[in-house]
Amino acid sequence: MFIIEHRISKEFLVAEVIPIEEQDFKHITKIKFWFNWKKEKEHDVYKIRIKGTTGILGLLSLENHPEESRIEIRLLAVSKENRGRKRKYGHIAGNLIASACIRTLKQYGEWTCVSLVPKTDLIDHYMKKYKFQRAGRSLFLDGRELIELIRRYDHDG
Amino acid sequence: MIMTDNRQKKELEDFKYLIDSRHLTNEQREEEKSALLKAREARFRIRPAHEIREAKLMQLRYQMEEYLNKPESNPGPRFPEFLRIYVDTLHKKRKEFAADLSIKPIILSQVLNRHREPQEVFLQRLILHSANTYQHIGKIRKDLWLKVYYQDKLNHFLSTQDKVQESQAKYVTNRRLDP
Repeated sequence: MFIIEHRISKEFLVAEVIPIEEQDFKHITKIKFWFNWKKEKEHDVYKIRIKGTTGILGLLSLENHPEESRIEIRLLAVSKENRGRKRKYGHIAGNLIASACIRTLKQYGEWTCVSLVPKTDLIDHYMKKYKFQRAGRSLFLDGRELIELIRRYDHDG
Repeated sequence: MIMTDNRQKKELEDFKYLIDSRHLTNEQREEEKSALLKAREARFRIRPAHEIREAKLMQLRYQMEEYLNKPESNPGPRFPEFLRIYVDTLHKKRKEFAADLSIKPIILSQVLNRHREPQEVFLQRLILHSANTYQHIGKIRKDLWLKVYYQDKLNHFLSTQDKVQESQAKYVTNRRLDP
């Protein structure tokens, strides 16, 4: 169970990360979600929303590398109104990353790994905030750090 | 100059909420693959046994939850399979787990091999054992094992009901009710 926080009221709301549906693409614009998400249709794309509502707060596209027991975060975007210092809800990006960690853990167990290729200026941010490790141009989460991130965001655990 | 700095700062702040890993060439992807495997192997070599055990137990919990959410994807029976993973993750010898539950090893073996249904006492002890095991790992729903067990039963019932009902139909009559 994922939780997001309304930044003004400090109210906590239950969120869910679920596969995207074809009709969602009508509401996913480049202005709101930065990238052209229609190009991601051949990958595993997930949306995060407040449970019981339809508004999409963020999107995640994953690429599975079974031969390496690894899932790569191809794309992640939090909706425009939830980015930056004036964002409406908090913890959206963290919940999306944690959901990728759960998916890979479920599949690969102790060998599990989530990776991404960050913007150079943000390497420290990911390493400090989510405890990513560095390898080449990539950042990755595995072992204890990956499990701790799941524990931080999955409130069933 | 200040304007540009502010814009760069805002863009960077925005990018904390955006990830794009697509921009590598095929050659760079191969380099990344090697770098990642090397780094992960080095970390795995020094990973303590208890962390590996934790990962396996977390994996088991999520797999059981997935089975309950999507029982049709792999109809099972899954209870013996999940129990085998649980037992083998915790103990090198299955008789040690049988001792944990104060049951005879033969009973555990028969449940694992689907030669015997677990009795209520077995299920209750398993639930207690799991609650203790998962206490420091991340909570496990109290009813998880029970639900998995009954999901298996439900799946079996649903998958065989047509055949069973065919043979039982002759025993059923519907009395004509007065209008």
